[in-house]
Amino acid sequence: MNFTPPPIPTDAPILAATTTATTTSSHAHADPTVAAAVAQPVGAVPTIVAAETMGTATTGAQGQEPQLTDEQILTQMQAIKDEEANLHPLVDRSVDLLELAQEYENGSETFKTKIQNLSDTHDRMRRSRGDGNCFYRAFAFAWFERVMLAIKSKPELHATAVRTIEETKDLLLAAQFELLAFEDFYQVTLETLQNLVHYTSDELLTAFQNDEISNSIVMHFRLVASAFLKTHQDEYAPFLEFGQTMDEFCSMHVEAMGRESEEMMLIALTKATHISIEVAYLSGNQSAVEVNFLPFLPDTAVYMPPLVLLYRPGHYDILYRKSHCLEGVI
Amino acid sequence: MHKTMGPTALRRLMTEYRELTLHAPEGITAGPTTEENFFEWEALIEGPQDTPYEGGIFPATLTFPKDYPLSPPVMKFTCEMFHPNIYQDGTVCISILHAPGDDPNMYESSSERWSPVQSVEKILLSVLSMLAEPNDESGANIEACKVWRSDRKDFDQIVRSTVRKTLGL
Repeated sequence: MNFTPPPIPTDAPILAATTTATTTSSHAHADPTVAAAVAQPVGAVPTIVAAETMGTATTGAQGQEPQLTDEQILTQMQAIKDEEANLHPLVDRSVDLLELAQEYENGSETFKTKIQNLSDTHDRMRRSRGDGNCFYRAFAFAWFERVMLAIKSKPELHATAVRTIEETKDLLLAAQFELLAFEDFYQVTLETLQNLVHYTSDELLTAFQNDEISNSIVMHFRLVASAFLKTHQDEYAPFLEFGQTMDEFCSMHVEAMGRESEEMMLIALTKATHISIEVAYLSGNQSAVEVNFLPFLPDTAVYMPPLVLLYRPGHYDILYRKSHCLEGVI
Repeated sequence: MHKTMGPTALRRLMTEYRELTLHAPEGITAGPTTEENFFEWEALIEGPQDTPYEGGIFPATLTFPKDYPLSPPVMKFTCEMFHPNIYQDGTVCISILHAPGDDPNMYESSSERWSPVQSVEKILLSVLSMLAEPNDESGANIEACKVWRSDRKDFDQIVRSTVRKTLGL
């Protein structure tokens, strides 16, 4: 056995290595299909999937699969992720809400009417990539953007946000998460928040489009939601189905990237961060022409207007309320 | 600028490596194969006591994706292994190496899955218990499953002969 491990890195070289490393930016996001293929055993299905998707299928006679090394498979998966990333940024520029109506031009009248009605009180929207993480990413961006825009007029919002994020560390430890498992995500989230003091809107968007930063923030909020549910099992475990324990539910649905969120995660994150959310439900339900708003409220006093998210079945984006509808509140 | 900006994966792998070296669990050694590439590790796993794998030392590789720990590594034994949950090419097939929603072998929903709260240490500990207790519900090596189910003595004998091979006996 020729196994000679390199010397143990101490703190100093780790920092040095981290800052000097020249790893290319990985457009990592947890597209479930990609994740599935990566995790599967070598030589089976994923080899074919990878090859075909890349347009470089070298499959010969039937039953013969191209022999790829693990390294090659991971590289190909990365290329697929990069391709997807070019089509849809993790968080997009905001657009006029009526642009959304154009999506339904030849489609449902109900959607068109509802969007029209929604535009009385809301003027813009911002898309979050549909990769299963859209809720967490939309929530984080909407919150951080709100804080950034008020950095001069309401600096206390920033101080409160920093304190809130710092407190999540205690929550994570209380939920028995290992420091090793969450500290990198926590650090990136806290630093992004601290950077808001000098960020422009473009810089904030760039940060959220960078997958290292953006996915770390998503992961932090996933762990925060999970930690809240685990530390409030008595209240929330009764809502779980099939005798699932809260730990099982969290590891299956909350802690892994790309797993979609449901109401329980919205409640958990709202309460853990003391941030209120309103979700505009844009469904194809024809019995109503108005869009329903569902509020998610923290247990503590609400100190700023709710973040508004737009929900269409299976997906969350960010909505912007017209400023006259916010007058006096921020 | 972000103090911690840069590859999360590399930072995490370095932390895990340091932790594993300082507090290595019994029966496990693991670390990067070379200093140049932290994304390829080699591990040595001791066969658990009171199992046919006892006495063996099994080398394996761990290949990490660039977005580790968001996605799991691939683990592959580089020696001959006869086990229901190890493919013939050495690839290990257990639930902790798969993210939820990825069910090549229809694991029961309660089994442990990959997420960033897992770690190399937890994977290797799962592999140790997999060696001690094969899961014939999610078989990777059909032949090994069959023998394990039908003739435990035969199974033990085959395993012991592979163990001798890995030791060069």
